[in-house]
Amino acid sequence: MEGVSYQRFPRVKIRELKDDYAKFELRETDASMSNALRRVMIAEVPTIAIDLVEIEVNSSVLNDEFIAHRLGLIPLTSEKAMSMRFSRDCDACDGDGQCEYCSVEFHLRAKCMGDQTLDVTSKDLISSDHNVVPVDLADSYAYDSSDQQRGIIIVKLRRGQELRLRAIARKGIGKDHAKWSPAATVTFMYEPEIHINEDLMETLTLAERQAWVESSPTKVFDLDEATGQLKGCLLLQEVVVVDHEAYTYDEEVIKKAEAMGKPGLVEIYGKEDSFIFTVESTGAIKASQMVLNAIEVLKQKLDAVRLSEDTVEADDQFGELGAHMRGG
Amino acid sequence: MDPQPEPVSYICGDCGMENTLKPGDVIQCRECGYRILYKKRTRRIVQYEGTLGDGWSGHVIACVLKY
Repeated sequence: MEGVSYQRFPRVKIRELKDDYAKFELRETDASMSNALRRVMIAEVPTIAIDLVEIEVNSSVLNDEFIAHRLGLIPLTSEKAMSMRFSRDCDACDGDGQCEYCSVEFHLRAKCMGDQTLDVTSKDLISSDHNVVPVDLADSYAYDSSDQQRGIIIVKLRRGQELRLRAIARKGIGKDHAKWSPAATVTFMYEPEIHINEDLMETLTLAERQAWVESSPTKVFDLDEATGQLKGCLLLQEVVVVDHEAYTYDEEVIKKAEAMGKPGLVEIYGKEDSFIFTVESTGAIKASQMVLNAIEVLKQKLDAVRLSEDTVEADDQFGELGAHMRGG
Repeated sequence: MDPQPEPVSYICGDCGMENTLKPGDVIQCRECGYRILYKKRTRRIVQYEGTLGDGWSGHVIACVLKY
């Protein structure tokens, strides 16, 4: 079977794009690809996060470990994460994570002097690299930040309490710790294909149609006012699909049809090669960049398989699949 | 030869007075005789990893709360 190829050419159509949100269609591929993309976005697209905290003074009510953990969870702008090194395989610093190629240093000094409680937020973190700073989504959402700062609260201090520390941020992936995941949520759904049996629908009264339309927990169907008016008769209002993507595969309308004694009133399939993705970012990288980086990471993983000694050895075993992996 | 152990200062649990104790000393406040003394926080820098577990349990809770 030389020359057989499983290669497909997926198409992407972008529906909505914001800094921290993306919605797009992925077509002409299968669930294995969509799911690989989803999983890589969540667990293997690298970002930068605080990983080591050296506490000099801490007289706050939270203990050192608690504060170290909170600092780790603060999202940092990570555009440069893809070109950074993991500190474990950094040649310049032997992996101790204290050089420009694999780490970024932060300082925090705060002391409450007055009677008012002092909020220590992510805005008090001073970065050694202006490209890597705590995420601030307030800018993109145009909140009125006039009177109050909108950083992430780390700890609150009362009079006399002090916090002084140095932190080192490193590159990492969500598989090692969730704090490195750039994804807030990544989901995909099969695009549904809805066929209404018009002949069977004709046999329903207006009240029955109304009841059937309302049996769907999400607004997928509606009665078409226009057709009713056209025929000068309320009874003939047609049932139409208003939003097929609102369907959540709950099968309520199918059960309702059966309960009404009209099985087969509607047939709904998930298209096996069309997916609708929703991507939300933590702000560490833009949602669009997250998708692109995921594809890049996926390609690197395939390269690792392609170049592996095992792959050559296993070629006999896998035959045409081996040839396919090498681009045959 | 071990270097002479440095006296460590403690705070009295009753009157708040600072006491310096050497090994072998009686654990008792010099001022009020109270027997519970608290050790002070170290002045050394202490290191912590900003990582607990794999972090995903909290993420699952956040997702449940959201939806």
